[in-house]
Amino acid sequence: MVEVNASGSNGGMTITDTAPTRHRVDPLTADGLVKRYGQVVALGGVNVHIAPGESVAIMGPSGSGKSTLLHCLSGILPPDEGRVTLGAVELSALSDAHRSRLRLQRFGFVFQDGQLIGELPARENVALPLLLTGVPRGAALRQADDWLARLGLPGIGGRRPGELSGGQAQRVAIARALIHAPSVIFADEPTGALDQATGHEVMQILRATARMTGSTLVLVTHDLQVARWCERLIEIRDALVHSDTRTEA
Amino acid sequence: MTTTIGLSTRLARARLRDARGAGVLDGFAVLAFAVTAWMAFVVTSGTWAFAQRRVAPPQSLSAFDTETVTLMTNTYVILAGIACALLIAPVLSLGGAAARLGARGRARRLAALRLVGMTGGQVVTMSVIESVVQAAVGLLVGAAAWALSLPLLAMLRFQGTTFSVAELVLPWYLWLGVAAVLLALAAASTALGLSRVRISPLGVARQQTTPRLRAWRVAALAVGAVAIVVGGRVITGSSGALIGGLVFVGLLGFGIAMVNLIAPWLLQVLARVGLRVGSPAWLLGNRRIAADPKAAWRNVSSLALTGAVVGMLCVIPLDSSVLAGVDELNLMLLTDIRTGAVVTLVIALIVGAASTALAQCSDVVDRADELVALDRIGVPRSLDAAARRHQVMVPLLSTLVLSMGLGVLAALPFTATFPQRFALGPSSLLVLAGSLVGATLLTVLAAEATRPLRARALSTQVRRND
Repeated sequence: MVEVNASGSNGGMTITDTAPTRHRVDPLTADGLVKRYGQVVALGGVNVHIAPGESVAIMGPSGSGKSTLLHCLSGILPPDEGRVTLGAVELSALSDAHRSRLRLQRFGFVFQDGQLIGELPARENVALPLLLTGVPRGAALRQADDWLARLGLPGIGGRRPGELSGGQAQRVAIARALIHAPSVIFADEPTGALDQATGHEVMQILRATARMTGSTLVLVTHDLQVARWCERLIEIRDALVHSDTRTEA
Repeated sequence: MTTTIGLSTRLARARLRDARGAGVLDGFAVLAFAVTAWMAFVVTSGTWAFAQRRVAPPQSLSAFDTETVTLMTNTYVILAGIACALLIAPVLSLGGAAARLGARGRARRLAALRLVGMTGGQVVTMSVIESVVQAAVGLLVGAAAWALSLPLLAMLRFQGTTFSVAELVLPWYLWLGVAAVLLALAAASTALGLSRVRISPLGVARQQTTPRLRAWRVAALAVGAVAIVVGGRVITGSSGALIGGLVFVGLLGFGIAMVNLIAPWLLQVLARVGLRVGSPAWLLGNRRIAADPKAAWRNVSSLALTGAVVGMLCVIPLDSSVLAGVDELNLMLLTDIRTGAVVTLVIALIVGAASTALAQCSDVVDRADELVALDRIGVPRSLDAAARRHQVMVPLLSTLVLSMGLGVLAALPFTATFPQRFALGPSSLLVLAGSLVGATLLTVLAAEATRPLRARALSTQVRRND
């Protein structure tokens, strides 16, 4: 059982592991990744190996290629050269439709501004990955309610994103990313739109829930304080891995 | 003012180069204004032609005495005026939709301009200028389309003879009047649309949730329905067929007004019921309807007219066997009402499809960020397309069924007066089925028109400042 006590702007909360279904967690590997945008080289031959269940922060100055690396690792963008593998599956060899299916089934995403669907209430936003993979509506909504409660948001399932605070919306996005117990959670500046206290709270939840589900966590951030929540810090500079170090997390 | 105009021009050029399709919306806006202008000119020139015939009746009416001809030509002007009135709302609604195109994206851009120091008045002025320029280009295209379609319009047969092109050509002052109304509409719609959001330097401040519509609308519908039936019977009971016809068309207009009142509420109820069953696309489509039922209704409101006309056609005789024995004057009147109804139907279908295509394309551009985010998390690209089909089909089918029912209801006084003259003949069923299929196909095609825009938004690899 994992238990986290967080005291942020929304009060304390307790996250307990009530045994969500877990997917197999595989290592994620990038070999010789090259990605260009026209004449600009965003990745110039990047090699990364991420172990199952590891938490990794990718940092770097603006334009260094860190978001491009996350997009290639997650199969959002196909690399121009090199390959990305999740266990035995080579993402870079899959078709666009297959990569989409893989992202839906085995990955979870948290973006800077949540990117929830405005018309759907929080509960349905969270349940969406399950509904799209064929889980019956009632069961999907029950799991969504469980996750919202787990993340300290009981009773807000009926509210639409426009009626939530930034921190609440980000926690809903985290619940959506985790509801199907993904192998890997990709977070792109997850605290970028939040104040420091709420950002701290969101990171605490993200880290704890990733541990709870055994998921690998890969996040991109500008903020060293945020990066320190992860066990490992990869710094990208000029389209290459500049350093790869362990933190004290 | 010069700075505002200059900036407006530069921003318009930048939009035309935008990779996600914001510039395409400018093209759609011009197209929508063109359709609006075309339809406005067609409707006005038809009415003008009947007004001409009031002064100089056609040869085909020479068999009737002067008093009858005067009564008849006056009646046609009134009927044409009523048809005009029925079409004004959908045509103006299409013009308004064109002015609101891409409103969310536009509001964000205007907020950025406020941040760098432009006043609220300046940004509204800039938007109004953009809309008026688009409307002016659309007006010219629409006027050209109208001029080219005059020979086709002249083939329509009313009062026993076809029109001549000369009858349909508008005098310059009327042409300018229509043009001025259309340009004023574009300016007013834009200013009104922007007044709904407060454009502050920090962005669009009000993205409030649309309040639910209340059930009092049902009571209004019940009262209106009773008024139609009772009023229709009382008036037609003491008047001739001609006056009855006028009452009939008037009641039809009243029925459409009632549809406008009840339909958004009904759509909201249907969408909320639909949430409990079906696929994720069905869920998303219904949620979008329930979130803003008035907007959903606006997309298909012009088809309410189609439905009402089809309902009316069900009880107006279309078959020669049914018409046998009717005197020549009434035969001509009934035939012309039928022709007018079909023309109105075609116009409503075109306007409805254009409105739906516009609203959906605008929505795709406004939601580009959401579409990209959903694509990144692995949501199938077909989900949005399927949700959009549900989003337009639920309002479409419910609108047609409700308005056709009201059309039949409005025609009931006639069936009571001349039961032997009104029957559901084979050609009536053909029109009924053809209209339903035609409206459905056109609306689905209109929804599918968003595909290229969606593909463009999703295929654009924007390099973030990573």
